[in-house]
Amino acid sequence: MPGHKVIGIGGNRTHLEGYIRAFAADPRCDVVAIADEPGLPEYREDLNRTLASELDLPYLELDDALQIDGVDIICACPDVERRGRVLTRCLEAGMHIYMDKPLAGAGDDAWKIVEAARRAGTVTQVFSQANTSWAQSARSAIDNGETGSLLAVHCDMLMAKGHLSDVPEGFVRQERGSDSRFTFVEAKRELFDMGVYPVSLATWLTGQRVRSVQAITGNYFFAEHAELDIEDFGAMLLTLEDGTPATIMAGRTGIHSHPMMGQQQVSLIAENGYFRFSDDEPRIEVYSQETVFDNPKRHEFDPMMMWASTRRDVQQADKKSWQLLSPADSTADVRAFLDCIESGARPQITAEDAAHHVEVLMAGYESAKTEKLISLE
Amino acid sequence: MKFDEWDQLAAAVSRSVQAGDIGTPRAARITLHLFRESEESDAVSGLTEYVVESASQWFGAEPSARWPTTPDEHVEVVMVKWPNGASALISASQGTRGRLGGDFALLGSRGSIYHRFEGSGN
Repeated sequence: MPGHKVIGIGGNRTHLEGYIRAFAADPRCDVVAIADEPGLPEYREDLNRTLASELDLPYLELDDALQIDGVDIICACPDVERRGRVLTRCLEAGMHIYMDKPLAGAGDDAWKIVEAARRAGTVTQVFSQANTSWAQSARSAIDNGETGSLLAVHCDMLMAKGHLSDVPEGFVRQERGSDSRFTFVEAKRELFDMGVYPVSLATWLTGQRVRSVQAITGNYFFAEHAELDIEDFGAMLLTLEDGTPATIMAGRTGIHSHPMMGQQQVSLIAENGYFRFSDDEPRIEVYSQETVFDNPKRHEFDPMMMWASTRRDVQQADKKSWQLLSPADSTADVRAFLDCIESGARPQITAEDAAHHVEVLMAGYESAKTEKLISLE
Repeated sequence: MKFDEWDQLAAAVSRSVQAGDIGTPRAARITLHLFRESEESDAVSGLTEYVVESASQWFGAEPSARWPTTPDEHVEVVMVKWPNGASALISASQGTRGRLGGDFALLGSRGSIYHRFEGSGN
């Protein structure tokens, strides 16, 4: 009999599409409702209700859902701009929370969530790559002394999705910094949305916080991002607490830019040499008429191919030429969160860790705007 | 891994760029970890600048800004920006033991080029 009752906050075209199905697949959990705040924009509430319908669950207002007897876990994917308010409300109700990344769209919101989590004393975990097999291998190589001391850490998160569209000739991005707006229908701020993965990895792998940030943002691949005045690419040079440099490359590079999901890797320069860990090894490579990847149809509301539901709508085929020996485990992060609730162990990435990641990203925007080094000390 | 492998790679990349395979080059990620004969050998100084020269050919201009850091005399890391908005993260280092190698990515407006340097261990 499941020991945890779970509520999902969000809907289709949010990461709740995947996360809530991972909870539903775990025998320890009973997903009882999809919920969200009242008064949402019509399109958002419709998409939330669609996911609830697909999962054969009721759709409830958040405060009503929090009253359901026995509910102890929230899987939270509200719009970034609402995360401070919604997550704090759930923590005040005594919930364990599994959160979408990034934790919030501003440092103030992030630290409000952290304070609420401290008061609640419940378990918080923010989605990351820390529980993937390749990131765990990297961490083990550091922890067991295989690498020796680290001299530099390089982390990449390049998402090979989206229909390339020409940025106007001669367009050079002038970064304006963060205005705390992150929710757009057709695109996302990619330093924020993709950059959080490598920032999270660099700090988790080394056990260190970031001391300073120098960053660049760019509009390289997509007209949609340029029209919204948001970046599709970001690079950061970080200095960790002990002076070790860490570099971050993050962005969305187009569906045809890589044979799998994109370059997602960690390279370690260390006392004992060069070490590389990535999501695309070990693999077989298959080249045949059957594995040629056709140009997929463009979804009107998701040209960046962000969501499983829209890829399903346009019947987008999978890339097949690189195939992992062991398929990636999409439920590992949720399973690790449930393990932590039951064992009392600390999750790999907590709300407090994630609040620091938000600080780093915000410093990145400020650095890209001013072209100056931003100190976090 | 010998550094002349870089020259061969840079030439191949230039041919691909000139053929229009990836559209306009926008961003590069280059990590090189090379062999050093002994603890007393010359330091790494100048390796990243050599790589920046190649990248400048692909991006079609000289850099407008560089942010270097040298945490160790045998490690150089630099972030570079060009006037057309292009950027690069370059790390060059040398070690006397362990695995050599590195990785290369050049991202363009219409596609990408990747390469992995497979060095032997010492």
